[in-house]
Amino acid sequence: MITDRSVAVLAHGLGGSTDLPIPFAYALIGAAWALTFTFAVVALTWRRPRFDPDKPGRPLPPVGYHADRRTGHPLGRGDRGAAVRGLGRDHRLPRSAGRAQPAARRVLRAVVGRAGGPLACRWPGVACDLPVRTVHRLLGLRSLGLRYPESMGIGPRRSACLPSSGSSSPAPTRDPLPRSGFGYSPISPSRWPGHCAAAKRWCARADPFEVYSVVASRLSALRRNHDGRIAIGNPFDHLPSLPVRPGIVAVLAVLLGSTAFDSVSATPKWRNFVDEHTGSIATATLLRTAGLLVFAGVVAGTFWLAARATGGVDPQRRRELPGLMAHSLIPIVIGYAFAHYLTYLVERGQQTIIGLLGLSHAEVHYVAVNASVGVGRHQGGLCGGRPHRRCDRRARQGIAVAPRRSSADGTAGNDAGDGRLHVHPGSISCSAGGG
Amino acid sequence: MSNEQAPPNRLVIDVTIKGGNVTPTNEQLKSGIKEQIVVRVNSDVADELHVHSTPEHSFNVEAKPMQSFQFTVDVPGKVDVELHKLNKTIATIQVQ
Repeated sequence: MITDRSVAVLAHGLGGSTDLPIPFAYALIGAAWALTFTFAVVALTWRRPRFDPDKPGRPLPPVGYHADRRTGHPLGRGDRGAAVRGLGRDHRLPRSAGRAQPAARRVLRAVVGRAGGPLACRWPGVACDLPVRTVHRLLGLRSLGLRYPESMGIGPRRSACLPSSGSSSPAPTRDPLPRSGFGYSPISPSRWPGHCAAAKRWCARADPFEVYSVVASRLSALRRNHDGRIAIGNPFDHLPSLPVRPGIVAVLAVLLGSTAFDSVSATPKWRNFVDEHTGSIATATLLRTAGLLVFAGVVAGTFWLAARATGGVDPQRRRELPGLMAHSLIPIVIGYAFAHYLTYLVERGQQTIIGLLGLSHAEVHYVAVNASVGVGRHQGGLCGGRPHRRCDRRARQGIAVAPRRSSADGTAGNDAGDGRLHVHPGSISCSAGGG
Repeated sequence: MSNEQAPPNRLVIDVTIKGGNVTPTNEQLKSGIKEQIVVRVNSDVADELHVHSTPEHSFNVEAKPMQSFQFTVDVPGKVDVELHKLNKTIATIQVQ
């Protein structure tokens, strides 16, 4: 039953109750299993890379292919991973961005294209990034044609995604700051200047929802084969096609750290700490933002250090390793997000569909999502992330070109070592936040 | 032997708002599903009491003593009870 009053409350924030806390024993057992299982798998059976982004998927019936062709999806583009480009990513391509397409088809394509992956994570992208591009196009606005500097990477996203990923986190209570909601609405001024200046790349690199969507799309079972046909395959094969650009580690660290902070910031200890040390809403928000930064910083720092601790590579390769291994965090990020926001997906999803279709007689079925499901999702993400070792394939390539490399055996040993190291920090911070 | 006359279980939270200070804050409480939860407020200022349950409840707090707001929660979860204007969390109730 939704009364008028409750609707009024909903209108100014993401409300509702949150999940019951996971019993400590569950969390501990789950974490122990994840650690044991993945270490066992990595140590015993994972001697060489098994996931290959070039491996073709099983082609789907050609309907999708032709439909997509008509909309002019550019095939065979030069950049790495073009053949395995997920559907979710196609809307970020410069060429399709510059082409006038009816908004409805665009929405449809994005929804259908993204349906293969974790919907919870894509939904914000579908809901929020399209209007900016679409409105821009409908108004017939032109961009200034400035080049988005490559060196900026996905930099702006790093700061921008802080308020979006933990939309309610820095706010003192469950009612989010009005600003954070506004900042991400399509009419927000903060999303427009960059879009107008360098529309083509701005959306793809600096728009928070699009960058999130690109990250999530790497875990999609749908991809494109070399011949351009839409195919279905092992999502893990697809992971390494995440474009490595400056700032990618920071983006993933923020995604992971902010989810962890979301749970920690709801604890009475943290709330009391903030209440004791701050006097006004502004300072409380600042302190919470600092906490959020610390969480993201710890994830980024440990991951960066561990990735760089890999042995047997030259300094140049060592510098590149954190970025090259960043994709191994994606399953953890997605699993973690699912563990935390599954209830929202199930309940708000029903509300959204009822609202969209105008089903006045339908009622939302509230499901008490079992804590064990949460733990399962969480651990699933960890297990998915940890043994994922295309990263060591990249490291291995680096080792192969290193001028002074060790023996073949030594290389394999280093590989095994780095496979454990590089995902470990993510899972540590993940578990710490999840408990 | 159960006492048929016993009043039903209910949770009572006494809240005082005085000079911008709220007591208690960040309280940890437990309640059963569909159990009565009563918030008794003594306040010197008008505010809004938000109960972040599913569905949500919102009550108008007036600047007067002995106000009482009552609700039940049907969906298990952690429910925050907050004062909107003061931006304080009074209590988090575990409903299960």
